[in-house]
Amino acid sequence: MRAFVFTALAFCLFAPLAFSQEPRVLIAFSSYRERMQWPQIHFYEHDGSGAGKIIENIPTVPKRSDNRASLSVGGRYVAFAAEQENEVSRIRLWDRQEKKLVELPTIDDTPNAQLWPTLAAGGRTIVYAGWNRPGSSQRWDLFLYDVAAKKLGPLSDINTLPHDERMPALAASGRKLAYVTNDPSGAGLMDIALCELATGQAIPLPGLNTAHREVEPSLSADGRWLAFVSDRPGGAGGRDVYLYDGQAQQLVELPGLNSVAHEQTPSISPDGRWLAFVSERIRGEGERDIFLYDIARRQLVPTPGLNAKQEDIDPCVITLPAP
Amino acid sequence: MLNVGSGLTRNCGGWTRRELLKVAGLGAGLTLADALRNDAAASDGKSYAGRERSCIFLWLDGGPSHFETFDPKPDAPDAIRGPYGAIRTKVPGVQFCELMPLTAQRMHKCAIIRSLTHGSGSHSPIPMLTAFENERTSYGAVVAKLAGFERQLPPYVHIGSKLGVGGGSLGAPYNPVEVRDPAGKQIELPQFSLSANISADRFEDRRQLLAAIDQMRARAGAETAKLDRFQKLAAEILTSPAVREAFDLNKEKDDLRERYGANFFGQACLMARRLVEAGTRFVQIKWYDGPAWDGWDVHGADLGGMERMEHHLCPRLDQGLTALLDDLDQRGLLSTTLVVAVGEFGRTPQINKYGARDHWPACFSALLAGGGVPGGVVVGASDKQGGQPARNPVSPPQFAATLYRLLGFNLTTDPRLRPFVKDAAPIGELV
Repeated sequence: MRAFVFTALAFCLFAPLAFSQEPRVLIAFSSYRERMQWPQIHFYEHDGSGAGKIIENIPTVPKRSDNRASLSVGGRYVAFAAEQENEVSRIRLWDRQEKKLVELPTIDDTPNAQLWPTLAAGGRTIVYAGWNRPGSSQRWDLFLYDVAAKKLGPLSDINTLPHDERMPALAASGRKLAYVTNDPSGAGLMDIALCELATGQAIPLPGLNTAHREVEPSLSADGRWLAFVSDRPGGAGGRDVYLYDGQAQQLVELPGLNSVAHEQTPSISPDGRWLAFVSERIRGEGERDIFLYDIARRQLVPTPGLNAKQEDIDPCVITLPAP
Repeated sequence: MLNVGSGLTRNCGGWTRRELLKVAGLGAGLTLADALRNDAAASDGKSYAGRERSCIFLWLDGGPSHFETFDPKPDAPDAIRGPYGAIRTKVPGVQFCELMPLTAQRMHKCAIIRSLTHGSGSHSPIPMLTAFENERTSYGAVVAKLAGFERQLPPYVHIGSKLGVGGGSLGAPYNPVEVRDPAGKQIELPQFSLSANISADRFEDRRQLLAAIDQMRARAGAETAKLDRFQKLAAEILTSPAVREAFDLNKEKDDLRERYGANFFGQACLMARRLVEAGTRFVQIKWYDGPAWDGWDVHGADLGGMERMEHHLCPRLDQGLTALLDDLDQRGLLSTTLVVAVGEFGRTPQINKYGARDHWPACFSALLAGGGVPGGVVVGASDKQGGQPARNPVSPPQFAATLYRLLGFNLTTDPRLRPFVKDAAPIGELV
């Protein structure tokens, strides 16, 4: 039985937004359009209704894959994973205003891979996943990096031994953290957990996890809205994107978003208005393409110029402040 | 080599007249025409070909991890088990990795070999596509030789970039017709797609082609009359409406194309079904190394490794493979079409510093379905750490013997098979 329940409250919340002047949207994403093997991060600005263009990218170096961009509110900072060929993946922070990398001392003090960065608190906090980092478990654990203090900070009561914690997603406020765990005490093999970042205290998510895979969480700024991916039965096909209302504690219907193809890698804007995601559907530009869904209007929005014949992946969407 | 397409160029120019001439034997190299001629010469009134079975061979280039597909080890030590769990399949007691949920629901139609083993850790289709380390004759070439050109379809088609094995000791005439994707237009398989910017009249060059053959014959003289006949027949095959139809994915509805996956692999699986349906005996699909560096050689944690496997490789395999099985089944073709999925080797039990796995030929898995394969069977087993066969090790020659037997060829009575299997016997549980 389909678990969707339309949340009238959600529509009431978003309806005023839908009929005011459309806000501009910024999407950071990775694309193979210029280099077949090594994606680069690009920025696409959209007018909120149907027009948009690529405005810039993060300069890269040969044979480096840049991916999993995470934007700060306002869009000045971008955390991302950078994997130089034959080296382990590292976390980097780009300042779009200064157009340079921000130094992150000690973050690379591990011979092992680190990825899935998520950015909050105006770019001052990064949480990411690290494999077998010295001093932690031999598996995937989450780590917090304090950009101002230039060192790792405490992240209490989240990592479990001997299980994996991956795919972190911070609320832009920096107060809540969602992540994926394979702790066998959960509902399924891969579950999404939500907690208070400061204390690690778990926040219940009744009705979200199933016996199937729930992965790739993305949070609105206040932590109320949580987008994620699941391969549970009853969806449109393969992996689908879902939206959970933490206040009503139920799923929100997203008509027209999912297809028979796989939908993955959702990103909800901090204000909860937009949902960017990747889909591999027959009418796209290439194999994997990025789509933009207007949660208020409950419809897909045209994004001319966003996708290329090559693969476009890993979107992160924010609403830009009015000029 | 029957090269259909424009080689290494990344621009899609469609199927040009020059290419048609080449495949028909008027260009350089040995061609389908030679194979037809050889077939005629070899005909001695005896038929060695077995039941009318076809094979769709999914070559998972790069070496897929058996842990993250068909042989999970959820109870292995921390340094061995990956982050992914094991899920139940339709067959009690048999588990797959959680990244393969759709295939798990079809396990009752599949057989898994969990104890394949050989000694080569280098990326090569040898020996898993040829049975022996020093052999370059692929299964498809042997099938083309044994089955002959009974129908108006090329008997052996390869979809994807070059593999480096083919006709081998049988000679170039038994190389596959190759369908590449040089433009990286993943969905269109451009050489054969009649939509978009591909002009349908590319396929209407038959009259010109035949006229060119006539001109050549006139120039070459009467002694080439027999050769011309085979060239002409080759041209007839490669330009026939049946071939055009089989290669044209636009004959399919969008929802079916989407069910296979809007990516090269999914669309290649759909094309394979169309080819088999039309009469091709062996279709080989190479998991592409195309637009986004995309093979199963997942050494790294990020886009070079586990991340790619979780978000990209396994979902596409799971979707394309199961759509193929379902489609074949619904059309009544599964019982006569053997589907095989395997790569050159498996991956290391020990997870590396990137959080991923390296090459491991000592023990790995393959999936077989259809074509008379008994469903729900697991052949052999790996040890607790997935590093060595714990029971019933299967060598590449045994794998080959099983494949030929399932395709209806008699290993005992057909002497032409012996060089390609030597004294190997088929796997008893599967034939």
